[in-house]
Amino acid sequence: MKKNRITFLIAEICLGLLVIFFVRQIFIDEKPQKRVAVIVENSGDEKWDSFINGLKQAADLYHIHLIICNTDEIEDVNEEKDLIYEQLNNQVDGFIVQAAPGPDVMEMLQEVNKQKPVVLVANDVLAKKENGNESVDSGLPRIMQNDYDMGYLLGDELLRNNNNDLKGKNIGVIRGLKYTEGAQRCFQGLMDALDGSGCEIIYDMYKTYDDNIVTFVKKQKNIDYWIVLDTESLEQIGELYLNEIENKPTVYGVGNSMKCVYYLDEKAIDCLVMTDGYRMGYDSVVELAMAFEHQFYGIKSYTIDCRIIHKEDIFTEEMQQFLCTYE
Amino acid sequence: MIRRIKNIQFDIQSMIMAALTLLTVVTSIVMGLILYNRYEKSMQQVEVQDTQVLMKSTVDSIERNLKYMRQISNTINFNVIQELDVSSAEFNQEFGLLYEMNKDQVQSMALYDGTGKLIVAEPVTSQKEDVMISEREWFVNAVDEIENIHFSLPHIQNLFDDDSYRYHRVVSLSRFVDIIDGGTPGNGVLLVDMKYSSISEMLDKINKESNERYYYLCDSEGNMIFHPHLMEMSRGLFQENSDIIKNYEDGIYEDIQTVNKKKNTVIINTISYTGWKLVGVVPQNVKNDRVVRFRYYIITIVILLIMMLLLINKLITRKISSPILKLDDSVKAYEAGGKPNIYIGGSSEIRHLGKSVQKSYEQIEHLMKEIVEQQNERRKSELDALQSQINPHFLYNTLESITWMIEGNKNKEAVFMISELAKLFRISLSKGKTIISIEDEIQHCRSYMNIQKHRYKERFAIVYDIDERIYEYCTVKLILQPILENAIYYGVGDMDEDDDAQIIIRGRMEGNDIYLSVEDNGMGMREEDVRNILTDNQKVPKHGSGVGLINVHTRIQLMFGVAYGLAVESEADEGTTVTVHLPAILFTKENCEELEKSKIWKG
Repeated sequence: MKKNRITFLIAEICLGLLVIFFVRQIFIDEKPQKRVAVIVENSGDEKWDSFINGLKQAADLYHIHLIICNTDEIEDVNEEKDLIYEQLNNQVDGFIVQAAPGPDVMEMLQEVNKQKPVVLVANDVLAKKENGNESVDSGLPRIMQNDYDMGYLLGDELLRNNNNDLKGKNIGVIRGLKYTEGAQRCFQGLMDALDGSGCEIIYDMYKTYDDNIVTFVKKQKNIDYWIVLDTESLEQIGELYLNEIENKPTVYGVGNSMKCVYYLDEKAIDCLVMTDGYRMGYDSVVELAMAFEHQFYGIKSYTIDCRIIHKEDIFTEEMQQFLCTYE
Repeated sequence: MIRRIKNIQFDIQSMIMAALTLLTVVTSIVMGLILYNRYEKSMQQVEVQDTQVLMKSTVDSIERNLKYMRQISNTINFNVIQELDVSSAEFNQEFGLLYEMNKDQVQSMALYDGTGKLIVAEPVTSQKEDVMISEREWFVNAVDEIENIHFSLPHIQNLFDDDSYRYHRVVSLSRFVDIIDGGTPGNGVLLVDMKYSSISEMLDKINKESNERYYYLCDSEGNMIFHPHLMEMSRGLFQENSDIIKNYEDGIYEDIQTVNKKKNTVIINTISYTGWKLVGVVPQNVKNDRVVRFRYYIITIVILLIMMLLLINKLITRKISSPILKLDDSVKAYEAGGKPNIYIGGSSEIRHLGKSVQKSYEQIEHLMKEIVEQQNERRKSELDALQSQINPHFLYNTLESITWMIEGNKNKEAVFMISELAKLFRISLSKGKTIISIEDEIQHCRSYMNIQKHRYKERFAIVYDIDERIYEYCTVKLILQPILENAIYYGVGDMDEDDDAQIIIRGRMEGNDIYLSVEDNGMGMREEDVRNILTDNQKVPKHGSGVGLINVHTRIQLMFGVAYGLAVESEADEGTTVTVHLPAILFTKENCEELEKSKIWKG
């Protein structure tokens, strides 16, 4: 009899607790949207259009509140750190970050990652070189293009278009920002592709925020090929050669803007390699959303596709679908 | 497992409670599910109705938009191209004016001659060099079907240079037109590129306002014109089954399975003239906020209902089972040796049951008493019958001895004998009582032995060694006389005077027991006879009255229990000792009455 009474009381208490739980669920406000800060250099630049379209589409789908930080150039770790900590104070739940140039970024981002999840996009942190060639993995999730492959693809295309014979050809290379992993790896890929081709690298320079690359390019003579591994630089060179198509060197480049496509269409650029920025933005938000939803979810790293585009490809249906994210 | 559960014995309260609880829970959950299902369906219907209303207004807007574009095309054709020479300055002016008026919705307008050569374009800009106009789909369509205005699918415009280095997504309206060029009639194709944004912004807006619903626009062949997930579709992140939808007429279609196996309700509205289809997709299994909240309401109500019904069930169960349990408890208490106070209460059925059980137990009690009484009566009868076996033989012998004494003029001795005989019978009768004091029993012995001594001419001596304290205790009457009779017949009766025959009667008290013994120094008995003397064995020789020691032994045990009775010790040529073992019960009126009622003393 006593046992029955205890069982009855336990059942009533359990049901009572369930009622409290569900009543709370009824009156509880909607879960606050998770906030994700996006920190990329020159965030208003056209080259981020596709990336931001991807971010927005996924954010809409997964009910994420995006804070796309309004930035100019991010020249070093301190500038990026300031931006990140400003957003940390702004109670964001995660970061999508393009690593700033410099060797100290890794530690800073690893520190931030302990507090809030960080996804690296567009540019990896500069891997420290230890004992010569050993590079250190940051352990941070990366959703970005394979810079080495992009450089290699561009070099390979150059070789293919010249029947694998570049003997006596002079090549000028314009890289991205110094002390960025992307610029180094892209250049390494290019060099590996061109290794043994007989060409000569006459110029190899890094882009800087302060100097216009056009001034430098104009001064150079006897160049057969410009290989530009940075979007802004490619846009500048495209504009330079737009009205001098007949007497210009051949330009191969990596660029992620419709302007670059336009220059390709206008033959100011001869070959373009583009990254699927939409996918980079989309996947980075999806991964963060999954991490927010599932406590023990490990954010995955993805390599984003890149594709080589020629003038004749621009208006194919497939390419139009690809390019519509850049509009 | 099931067998083990079957073997568990549940009480009635648990069983009723379990059954009612199961019924309550199942009923409540089923009710909740029905209610929730009904509400969800209503919500779904509301969603579909909302979608229909929104789609209708959107279709109207798109149709208005497209109609407007057709009107522009018509105006250019009928009011400008057919009225003016294309080579005239007035034509260019009118053409430009129309563009300026409509440039919010029109990206560009151009007129080509029949070979695809540009005649005029607005805004004024240079055409790209290697553009093959005559191969363009919109041009071919216009030339092939000259009576229609042709709408293309959205595409990137690739005709003119753009100062902002950008491309524009447009929907091209093309039509075959008759022109006059420098006074020569000819024909050409009018192209009006409508800004894609005028459609996409409209559809974007309605998509943003929907929760899980979405709307897309496709042409009659299923080619996508607008889709909120168009960019994802191009990357394989989203799939749409517009290939199936293209075959459907206008209407509502339920349970349309998507590529991801999800079920949707699909609403289709066709846009006139173009044949484009505006498709509204309402997912069937997606719960919006209101439905989720209602689900919580239902769960809360169901749980509260279960809680309340459990409480009521508990009260009902207790009300039903309590009288049964009390009845059961009272029966158990009776079975454990308690009084037959059977519970009578609760409903009329339980009361009736209680009364029946009570009556049954009372009847059993009554019958038990009757049986015990009958047993006692029977025992008493047996006792009386045993006692009655003593007297006749002895009386015959004694009276014969007295006769001889009188005949031999031994009157004094005869008087003594008669006097002793009178005492003997007084005690024998004892007013019909079975229990007498030990003092009377000893007196009875004395009288008996006095008579026997006369009969046996003083051939044996008799010694009394009695502790007088035992006189005031109870005994069954006439127990020593048969022992003495045996001592005489089998012991000292046949001995010579010279043999110093002797019978010693002892009486003592040890603790709560009293021992009376008759000891003779006669010829004794064989060991076999000693073993059989207290059993009903025919091998034991019987003399005298024929009443053996077994008679005495049985009477004592009938009265006091098997712990008491006789013990015989004998040795051939040495003598025999018979000891009577009795409980020490004071000879009081109460004890006597109790013993007389034949209640065996079990002290």
